[in-house]
Amino acid sequence: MRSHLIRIMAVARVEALRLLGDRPSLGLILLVPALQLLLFGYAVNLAPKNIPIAIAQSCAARGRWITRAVADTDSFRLVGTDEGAYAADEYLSSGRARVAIECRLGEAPRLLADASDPSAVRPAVALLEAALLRETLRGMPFEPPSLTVQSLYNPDARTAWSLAPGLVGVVVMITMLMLGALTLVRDREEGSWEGLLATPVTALDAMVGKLAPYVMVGVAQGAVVIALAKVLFDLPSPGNVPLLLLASGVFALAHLTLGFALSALARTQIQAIQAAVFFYLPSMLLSGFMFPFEGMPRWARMLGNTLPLTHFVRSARGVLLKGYGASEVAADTWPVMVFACLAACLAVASYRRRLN
Amino acid sequence: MSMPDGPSNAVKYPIDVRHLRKCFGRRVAVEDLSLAVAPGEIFGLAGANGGGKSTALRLLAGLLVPDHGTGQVLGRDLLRGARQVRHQVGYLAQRSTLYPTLSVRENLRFRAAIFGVPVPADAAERQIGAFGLGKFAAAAAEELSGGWRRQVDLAAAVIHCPRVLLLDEPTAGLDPAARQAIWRRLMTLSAHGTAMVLATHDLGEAQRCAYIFLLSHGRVRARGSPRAVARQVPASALIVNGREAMNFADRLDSSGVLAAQPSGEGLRLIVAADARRKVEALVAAHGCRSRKVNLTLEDAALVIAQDARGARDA
Repeated sequence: MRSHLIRIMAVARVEALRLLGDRPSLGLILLVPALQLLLFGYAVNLAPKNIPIAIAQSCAARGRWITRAVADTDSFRLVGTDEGAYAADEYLSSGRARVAIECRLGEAPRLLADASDPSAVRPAVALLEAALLRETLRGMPFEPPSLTVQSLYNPDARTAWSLAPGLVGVVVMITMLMLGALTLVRDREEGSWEGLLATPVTALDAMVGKLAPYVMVGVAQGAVVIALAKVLFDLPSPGNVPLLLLASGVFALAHLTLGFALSALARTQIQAIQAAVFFYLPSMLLSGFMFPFEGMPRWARMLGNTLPLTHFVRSARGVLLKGYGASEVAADTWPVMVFACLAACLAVASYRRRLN
Repeated sequence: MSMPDGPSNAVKYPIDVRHLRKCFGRRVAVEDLSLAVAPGEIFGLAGANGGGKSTALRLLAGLLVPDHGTGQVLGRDLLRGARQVRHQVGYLAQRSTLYPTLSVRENLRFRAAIFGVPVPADAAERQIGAFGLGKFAAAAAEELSGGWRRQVDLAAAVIHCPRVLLLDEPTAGLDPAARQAIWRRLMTLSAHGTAMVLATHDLGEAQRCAYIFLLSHGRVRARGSPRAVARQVPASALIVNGREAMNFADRLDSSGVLAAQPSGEGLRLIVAADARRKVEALVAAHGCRSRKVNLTLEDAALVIAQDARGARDA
């Protein structure tokens, strides 16, 4: 046991020295998450505003009523009003407007939306529908029943708040997967791998030793994103953040071991990177980071539940927005541990395979 | 020694393997390899590229598991105790195995640590002193010349004082001075009783070994001392002299001449044993003189490679 520990420490020391010696890469590893957070936090808006809208009307009175409803949503930019009641299609097909309202005399108004990019118009159209309904009810002789809506955890629906927790997971996942995937392939291309194989270092020694420094990097990346999100976007983080960072270590390890296994199986760095991309793209799409998890079909949710990112995004959102504690984080971390163990078994089994 | 008659022990033969076979898919890389190496002996595995030398070394180093055969290295079973074998042998791979961005000192310290050498930092300093690496100790391995890098590779391979050293092309691509420096180290290690197996395609290098196997396509084609191996080959070397000697090469057909190359002012021919009389007559008919000389190890390797290729094509 002691000899294993000595070898693991020796391998870890060398990996740490190589990492610290490669200052540009180390800088990028810590700078990229910061840049991504800035980009996502300031540029991305899940409730877009200034959507171009056109109103084609042949009835001025109704037109004013609709214009009031549009202004009420605060989501649109009026790009044109046309006296011709049939001009709505032209606005959409020419791309001058994303949404158009057609209002013909004697007919119910028709709302046309450019659904080629549904996520760009759907939230605003929903607001518009609600506004139109309110305008309609305004003239009624009775008081309509009211519903009090209380948005918890992110009351202002701030995009940065909803993205930052998932971004912690995405940044750590991609970096760890890539670092893991390049470890052995790089050693093989340099020649040092054969030297390591000819020593008493076992597959487990090599894996633990090589990946240990990178786990620290993964935790540091997570901490950078969380800290920046707190500073820049006032992310509340009412839960147990140190515990989340611990969970991010497990999460990093899961992707490092998977990357290590891919590295052991791949012949070249390109193969290893392609295999990593093949894994992380579906992870981003099926984890609930980009699209609602509950909206996916059952098979996709089952597949998503096998991915570490799905569980980490849940615990990150829970800790950073909802105040999750130890039991909730543990419940989302054990599937990640199982994944890490399975990936480690694959990595150990594949370690010497390439030479044979 | 190539093969002991009776059962050997680890003291008498640190390396003792029998009938090793290794295939990669359908390709046979090593077939029926048996050898025993005594302490202090430098045993050569010679032959052309792709002959199976590196695979044979990797089998002995415990890097590869043989498909068939038995063997022990320092008393450890090659099949069941590969990790223990790796713990006790030194292995110099064909390519440098140093971490290129790490310093010489760090590379040596790492190698000492994973072999469990007490106080790895001290062991690294000892090797730096012993191999005269002081002025490069802080330099990254990738900054060293080929010769010095090989010296560091060797220093790393023997940092745990192994009693068995396996060397894959230890001086390939080095200039004569660097070669000499490496060979001085090897002779010192041999004098201290280290058993060595050296794989090389450079037959001049193989001449320095006490005993060699000439490998081709995974099989041992000839064995013995370098001089004895040359004698085993069914071929002759002829030096052809005379005014027309250099033009004679153009008139050679496939009449048993395996190779022809300039030699001073004449031509050196390697001729199959059964075609020698015919070629000598042909030389005389063209007004040239021929005389028989000893085959070199390189000549022998050439003949064996051609025989093996002919047998495979057939």
